[in-house]
Amino acid sequence: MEDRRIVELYWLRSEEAITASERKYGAYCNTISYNITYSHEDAEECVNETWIRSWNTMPPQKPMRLMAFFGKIVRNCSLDLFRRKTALQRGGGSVPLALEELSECLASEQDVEKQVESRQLSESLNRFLHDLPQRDCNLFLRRYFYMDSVETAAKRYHITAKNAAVILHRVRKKLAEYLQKEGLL
Amino acid sequence: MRADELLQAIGEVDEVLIERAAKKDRSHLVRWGALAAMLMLVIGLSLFVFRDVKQDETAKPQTMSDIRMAFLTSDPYDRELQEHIMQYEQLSCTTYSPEIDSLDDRVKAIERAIGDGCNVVFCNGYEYAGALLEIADEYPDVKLIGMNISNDDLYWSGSYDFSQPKPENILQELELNNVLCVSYQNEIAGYLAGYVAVREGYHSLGYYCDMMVPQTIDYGNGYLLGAQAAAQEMQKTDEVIVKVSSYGMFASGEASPILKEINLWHQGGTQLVLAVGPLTLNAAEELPMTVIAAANHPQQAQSPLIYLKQDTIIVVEQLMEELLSDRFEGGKLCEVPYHQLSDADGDWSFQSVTQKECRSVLQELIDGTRTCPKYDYLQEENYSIHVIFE
Repeated sequence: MEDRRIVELYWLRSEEAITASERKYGAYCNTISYNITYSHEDAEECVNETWIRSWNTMPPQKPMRLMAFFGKIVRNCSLDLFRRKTALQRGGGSVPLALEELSECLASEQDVEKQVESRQLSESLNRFLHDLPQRDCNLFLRRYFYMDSVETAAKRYHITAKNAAVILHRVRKKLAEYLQKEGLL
Repeated sequence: MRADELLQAIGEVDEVLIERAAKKDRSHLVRWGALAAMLMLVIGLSLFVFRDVKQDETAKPQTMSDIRMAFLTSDPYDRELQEHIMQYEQLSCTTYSPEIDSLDDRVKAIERAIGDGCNVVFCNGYEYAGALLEIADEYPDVKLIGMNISNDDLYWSGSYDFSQPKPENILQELELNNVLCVSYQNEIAGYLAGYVAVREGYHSLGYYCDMMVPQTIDYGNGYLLGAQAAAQEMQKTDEVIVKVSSYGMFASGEASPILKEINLWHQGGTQLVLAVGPLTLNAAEELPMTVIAAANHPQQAQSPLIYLKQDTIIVVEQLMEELLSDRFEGGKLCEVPYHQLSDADGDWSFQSVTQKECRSVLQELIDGTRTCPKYDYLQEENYSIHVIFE
């Protein structure tokens, strides 16, 4: 089914939208989530959460690139779950919960400041990635967006893991220099 | 700035870049394609549906000892297929399993087999579709056989760029000439089940599967078309009702919600259900109604189970013949109609419709006298009987 039709189904509040999303992008989302959570159960939970969040955001949103749209949501869900789980492992359930509760008391100014910084960072990253050679950019995103292992990412581009690790090291170094120049580090 | 913030920011990068990185790099295929075109020998011609195989003088007969086969399956119930392969006495066949159920591990398991010297890798189950696509061009000398893998399974596997239109044959599109995929025409099996059920006098039917994926959609679509055909023959299209539902996940989860739902159907008058998928089958064993189970593992059950069983033997024997006569030709998608409909003892337990009639319907479906079109989705408007999606 075409992406445009899937988005239409979300707008029509048809549950078929979720079936079609699962069918077309279920495996894609599951791979991203599994790379982060390393658990089939958690990945399944995050993929389901992705459809719910998509259901809640369409309308009003009308994503032009549905694959990336789902990819971002499932990545965020999975990272959130991963953080919650690792926090629980570190200090039990009360500490992160207390921090989360206290964060509501922090001045919203700080939040705004943080949001602006975060937006600036994303914009700089975009400029940086667009300027990279295509293969290096893809490799970087496979490793840090899709969370592929170095070996898996290398295989995708038919290079050795060692070669991929060297390329990634160079890109990270370049990125640090770039961010410093942009005043973000 | 913390690494966590950077990680978060990477999640917000340009969507064009994210989609570009999701696409598979195929630049190396151009090189392989050219090489393969130069080196490819003309080996045996079409083995499509394993009929009309032309004799090829260049084919070199092999012996069993030339074949070192690896067998990989995700279906623990599918012992029959494995046992049938193992019964070729001189054949070296080793079973490999992925450590965990993931694409990477399935790829690793195949690589392990090839590393051990296997030159024929037999993968059973649609889950291997992605692994075959990932690995095929790296091992052009290894024959890869995907059993129960259709073009749709390859397309939706996550290892094919499904933002592109679906080609008729993905293997040919990608020039994967060492891969042969065999799938059963599940729509035909479903058709027989629906046809026989209505001819037998059932008018309130159900179709339940674990999850709507290409194979279960085919079963369901065939079932609805078969029920419709019988209803038309009997001029009872107004009387036949089919409820359709799925659980929404495969293999993991509880069978009890399925049992509850189908029991509600039963209380509402549903007389017979076609059950597809491991979870549904677990539930089906406890249902107080007639069940046609799409399963390869007949077992004791409380309800009167009728089995819709893929005939793996005929397919395996034909594949072995192709391999031994060196007429194996990759890049092909073979769809086979072979299914058996019987009770657990292999007997025919229907009263109003004979096995001969059923065979004749099957023959008509194969030769095209009777049609069973495929649909991407189950939709009410495709059928003239009353279909209720729940």
